[in-house]
Amino acid sequence: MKDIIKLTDIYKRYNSGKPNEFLALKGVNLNVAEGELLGLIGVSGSGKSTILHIISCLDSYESGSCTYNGEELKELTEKQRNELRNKEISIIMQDMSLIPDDTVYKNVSIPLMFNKDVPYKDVKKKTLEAIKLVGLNDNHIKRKVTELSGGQKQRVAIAKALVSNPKVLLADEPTASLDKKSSNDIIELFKKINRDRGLTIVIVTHDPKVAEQCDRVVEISDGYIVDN
Amino acid sequence: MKKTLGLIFNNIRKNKLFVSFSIIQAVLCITFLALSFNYFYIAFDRYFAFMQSDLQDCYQTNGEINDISSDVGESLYKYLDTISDRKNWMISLYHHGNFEGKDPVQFSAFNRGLAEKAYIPIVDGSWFDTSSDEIQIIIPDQFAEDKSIKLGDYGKFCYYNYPTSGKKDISFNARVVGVYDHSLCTVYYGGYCIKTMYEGFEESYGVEANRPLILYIPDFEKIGAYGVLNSAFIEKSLVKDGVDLSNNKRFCDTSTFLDDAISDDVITQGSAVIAFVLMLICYSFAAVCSLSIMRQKKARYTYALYNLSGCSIKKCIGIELATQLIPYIIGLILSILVFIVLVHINIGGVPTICFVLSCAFNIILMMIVFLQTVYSLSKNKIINSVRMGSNERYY
Repeated sequence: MKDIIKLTDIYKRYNSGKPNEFLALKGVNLNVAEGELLGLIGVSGSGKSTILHIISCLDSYESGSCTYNGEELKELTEKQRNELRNKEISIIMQDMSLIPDDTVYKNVSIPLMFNKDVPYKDVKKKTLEAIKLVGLNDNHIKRKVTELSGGQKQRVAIAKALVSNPKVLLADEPTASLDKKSSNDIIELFKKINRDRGLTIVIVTHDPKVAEQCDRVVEISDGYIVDN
Repeated sequence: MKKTLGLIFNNIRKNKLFVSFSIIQAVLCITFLALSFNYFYIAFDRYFAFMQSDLQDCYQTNGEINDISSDVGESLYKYLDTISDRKNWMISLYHHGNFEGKDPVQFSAFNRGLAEKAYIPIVDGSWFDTSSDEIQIIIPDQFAEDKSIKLGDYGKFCYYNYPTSGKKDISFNARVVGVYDHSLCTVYYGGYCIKTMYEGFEESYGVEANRPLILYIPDFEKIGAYGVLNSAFIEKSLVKDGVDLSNNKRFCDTSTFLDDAISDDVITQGSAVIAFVLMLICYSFAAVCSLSIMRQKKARYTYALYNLSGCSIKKCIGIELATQLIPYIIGLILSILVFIVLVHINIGGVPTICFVLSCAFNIILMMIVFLQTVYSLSKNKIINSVRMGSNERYY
C-alpha cells in the first residue's frame, strides 16, 4: 500500500532562541500507509503529540519534509491547510475537542459548517449518520456534552472527526481518560472504522495495551523514533 | 452563509446573560419609543381639543381681512415689543388671505408634537401655495445684518423643522416686512435658529399688503406643543387690528395648557433619564459579559476547535465579532430609532441628549469589544489554546 503520510528527518523546536528552548523532534522519519491503523507510543514529552500537530498542519517544523499524498505540508497556504484539516485529516485532541455547553448534534456538525462541498440541507443527514456510526442513538443527539460519560464523549469526538468523511484520522491519547471497558470499546470502534471504511488511523498513546491492538506500533522517545 | 449565520446565532444564544441584557435594552428602547409616541398623541389630542373649544371662537371672530400697509413690519416690531412673555413665542406661519374657502387659515410651524400635523396642509399644497402666495416675514435684526437683508427685500426662505436630518420642510418666497431685536432669538436649539431659514434674496420689491405672513418668534422651545395657541392669538390680533397691531392685546388664557405641557415634559424627560441610566447599566453589563476573561477563554477555545475543524482564523474572528457585536448593533439601531423619533417630534433636549449619549456609549463599547476580540483571537492565541488542550480550564 502506498504511503499516505511521510515524515522525513523532521526537526521541531519550541521556544526557539529563548531560555526554555526545547527540541521536541530530532530527525523523525515515519511513513504511514493508506488504510493502516498505526499506534504511536511513547512517554509524556517524547514528541508524539507534536508529530500529530505537524501532520494536521497545526504546527510547522524547522527542517525535514512532511508530505500528505505527496504534497509538502509546509508549502501549503493557510487556506489549503484549513481545507486539509476540514476534509482530509481529522484530529481528535487529548481533551476530545468538544464544546461542553453545546449539544452532541452541534458538536458533531461543526466540521460540516466549514465544508463548502456540503450544502446546508445535507448537514443534518450527515451529522446523524456520523452519530449513529459511533454507536450513539437518538437520545444522545440533543444532550449536552457535559451530560455524557467519558466513553460517550469520546464517541462524540470520533463522530465529529468522521463527519467530513476524512481519509486520515489522528487520535491523541483517545483512551487516556477512560476506564478499561470504555477504553476497549473505543479501540474496537477505531478498529471497526479502520476495517470497514479503510480509514488511515494514527493513535498516539502511552498505553502499550492500546498500542498492541494496532496494525503497527512505532515507539518514540525523546524526539527520536526508537522502534518501528 | 446559512451555516455561518447558524454558528453566529448559536454562539449568541449560548451567552444567556449577554442576551438577557440585550433584550432588556431593546425593551427599554421600545418602551421609550412608546412613551414618546404617547406624548405625541396627548399633544395632538389637546390641539384638537383646543380647536373645538371656546378659545377657537375668538380665533374665528377675526372679522374682515384688512389691508396691511407697508409699515406693517414696523408695527409688528412694536407689537412684539409689547408682549411681555415674548420669549415663549415661536415661528408662526399665517395666511390671512381668503384661500380656497378657508378663511383665515392659520398654520403654526410649532415645536414638538404638533409640528408634523401642522405642516401637512402646507407640504401637500392643499391649503397653501407657496409659489403663488406672497409671504411676508419679520426676522431678527442680527440675521438681517448677517445676510444684508433690508426691509422690503424679497427672496427665498426655507424653514427646517428637522434641522438635524437636514430635511427642508418648506421653502417659500417671502418679503421682509420687519425686523426685531435679535436678542430675542436666544435659543438655538438644534439649529432651529432663523439663520437656517434664508437661502438668498433674489430681488427687492416694495412691501405688499394682504398677503400671507410669517413670523419668526424665538425661544419657542420652552412652550412645547402648545405654541400653537400663542400663534393663534397673535394671528388673531394681527387680523383684527390690521396696521395698528400694537393696540391689540387680546389674549386667551393658555396657562392650563402650558402647565400640562410642562408636567408632560417633566414626565417625558424624567423617563428619558431613567431609560438612559438603565441602558447605560445594560450596556455596561453587556460589556462586562463580552470582555470577561472567562468569556474570552471560552471564545478562544471554541474558535480553536473551529480552527481545528478547518475554519480560517479570519473567519473565526468574523464569527466572534458578529456574535459579540450584533446585540450592540441592535441596541444602537433601536437607540438611533428613538433618537430619530425624538428629533422628529421635537420632544426636547434632555431625552435627545440622553439617547445621543447612550448611542455614543454603545459605539465606544463596540469599539472596545472589537479591538479586544481581534486581539484575543489572534492566531497564536487560538493555536495555543488548541495545543494546550484541556477545556476544563475554560468551562
